[in-house]
Amino acid sequence: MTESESLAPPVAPVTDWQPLPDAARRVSMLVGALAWLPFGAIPTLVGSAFISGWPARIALGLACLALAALIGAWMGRARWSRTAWRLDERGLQVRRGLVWRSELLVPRTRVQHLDLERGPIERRHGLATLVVHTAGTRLYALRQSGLLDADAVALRDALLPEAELHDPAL
Amino acid sequence: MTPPSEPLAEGQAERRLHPLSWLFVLIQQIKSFAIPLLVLLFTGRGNSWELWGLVGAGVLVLVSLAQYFTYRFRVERDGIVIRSGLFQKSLRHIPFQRIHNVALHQSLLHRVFGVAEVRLESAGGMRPEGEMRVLSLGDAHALEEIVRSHGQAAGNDAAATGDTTTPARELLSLPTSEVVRLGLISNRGMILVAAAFGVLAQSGSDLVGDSLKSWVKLLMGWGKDLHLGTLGWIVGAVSLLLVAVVALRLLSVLLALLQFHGFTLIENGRRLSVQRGLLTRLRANMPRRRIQAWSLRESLTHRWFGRRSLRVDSASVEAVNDQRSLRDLAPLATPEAMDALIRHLLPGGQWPLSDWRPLHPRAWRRQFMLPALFTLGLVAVLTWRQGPWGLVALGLLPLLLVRAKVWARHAGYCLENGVIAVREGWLDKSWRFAEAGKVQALRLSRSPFDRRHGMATLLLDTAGASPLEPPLRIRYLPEAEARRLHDRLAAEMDRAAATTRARTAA
Repeated sequence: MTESESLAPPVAPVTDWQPLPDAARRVSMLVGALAWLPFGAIPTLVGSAFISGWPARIALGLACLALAALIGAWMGRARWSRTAWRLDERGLQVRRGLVWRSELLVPRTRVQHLDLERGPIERRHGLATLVVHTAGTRLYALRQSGLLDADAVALRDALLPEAELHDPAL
Repeated sequence: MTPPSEPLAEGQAERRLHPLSWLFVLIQQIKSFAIPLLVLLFTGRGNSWELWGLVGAGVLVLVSLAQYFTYRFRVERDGIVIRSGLFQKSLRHIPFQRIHNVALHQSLLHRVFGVAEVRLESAGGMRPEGEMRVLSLGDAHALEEIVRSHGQAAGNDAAATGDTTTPARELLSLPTSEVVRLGLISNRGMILVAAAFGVLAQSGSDLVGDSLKSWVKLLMGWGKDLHLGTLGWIVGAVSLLLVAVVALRLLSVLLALLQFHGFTLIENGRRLSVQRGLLTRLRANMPRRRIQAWSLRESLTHRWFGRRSLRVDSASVEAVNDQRSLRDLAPLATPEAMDALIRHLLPGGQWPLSDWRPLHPRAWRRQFMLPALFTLGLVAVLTWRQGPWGLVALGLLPLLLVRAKVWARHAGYCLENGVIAVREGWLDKSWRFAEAGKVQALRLSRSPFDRRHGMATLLLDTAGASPLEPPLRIRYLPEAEARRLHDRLAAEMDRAAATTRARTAA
């Protein structure tokens, strides 16, 4: 297939799995902790009904919130360590999931358009989210957060659909 | 401006819709305001609401007239230009290339006036590219013809342009007897009744509950008067059930006749077109290559009648819930006729496939486990509440086991000639397949249960798939085999893209 060689992206194809950067671990832990905080409120409310005295209630609340945040941060870290991406001549592949593990492949020829998103937390850590849109229905977009800004830009450039690659069936 | 009496042709000056189109726009608007109007009618008390209703109707008429006077379109060499809007003017240029489907829709009223509603559909959009409410029938057919000829002249497939000279050919037509069979097989009546119940229950009225209660009371009272024994009650209940089943099937037949009377599938060059409907005539067109995925179904009732049904996904998203799209490509045909039809339409031309591979040897356990656990839970609850009689539910277990075994024996997948196919089912068998070139993304996933058995699930995403139908996915594959298949598919997807590219370049 000489044709696919001539279509090689400007950046050298990376064929092994790339982990997310350390900055993404911090963000993932932070986001996980924040997402789990509300779960700490439930045992606090239930426990407060059985405990009298405000200092004890406040102490219980803080302990529950801290525990929830810890669990969230641990989950965030685990999720970070399970996530990896790979760009080869076929396309972009992303591996993720703690309990339900999945590997998603979007071939280069199926990329419709690409988005780069940078939220406030990600901006502070020099990270970006890459969204790869396809014409599919259930997997209409592959969204990967926590990529280094430079990596995300390079991936976007490498995956940009070329006019002659466009699937004429659509 | 070209007077509407002249036939529609390319390069003419701008023209308006059919002079009666304001009437149909008005009807459409009244339909969309029907619920508020009804609410007003039922809850509105006092003297002023009639006045407001009149004002509202007057505004609607004015809006419809304004729409008629501001909507203009013309056919150019490369597309259709639509100019519309009173305050917010819009100019829309739709290239012929982008038009996937020209859908003609004729309700009874449309037929009385000899007009049709035309929709120009493209891929991906949630709304049609252009909507012409309404054109005279002659203009609608002319427009359809123009789009068709341009779609072929544009010739994305250099190889297929030879087909353009072939005359229209009828691939499938359903005589009334077949449509009646379709009604008996499909349970459209049940769906309609369920929907009606749902709407009534949602509306918050006690109508359903009250009428049901009074009916039951009436029947019970009648039964008591007859002094029936247990046997009499059972016979009564069974006959009542039978009457309900027969009534539902009759309703299904009626609906099938309404929707599918005079169904014909015609191949015209590379375009497929379907015509159907008793009162409301529908006509839809689509190039053959826009078919994204196929699903063939054979339920138990299908098998009793020796028939199968074929549906296809096309690329336009909004077509998913729209009954005027070309989803039901072949509502009913004998297995042989269906195989021949698929063989004719599927690029590669090989069907039925032969190289079927089984799933993981323990796949039946995965199908058995969840319902079995559920049954055990049910038995526990029943025994606790009803005593030893609850153990009768254990009798379900062998049935579930047989079901799982039969399911696993029939299930399988096949990748042959660039077509990936999955078959599943027990009483209700289904085949779902797509060309590898139409697959958009691949996902290999492993749930905790998958990992325990060393299995994996492969999901193949295609465009325009209906969320109501099962996805194109292969469950319970041995993990190593799933990875091999994943890589093979990725290669096939690339190759398909390369060949279409080469063809486009040629």
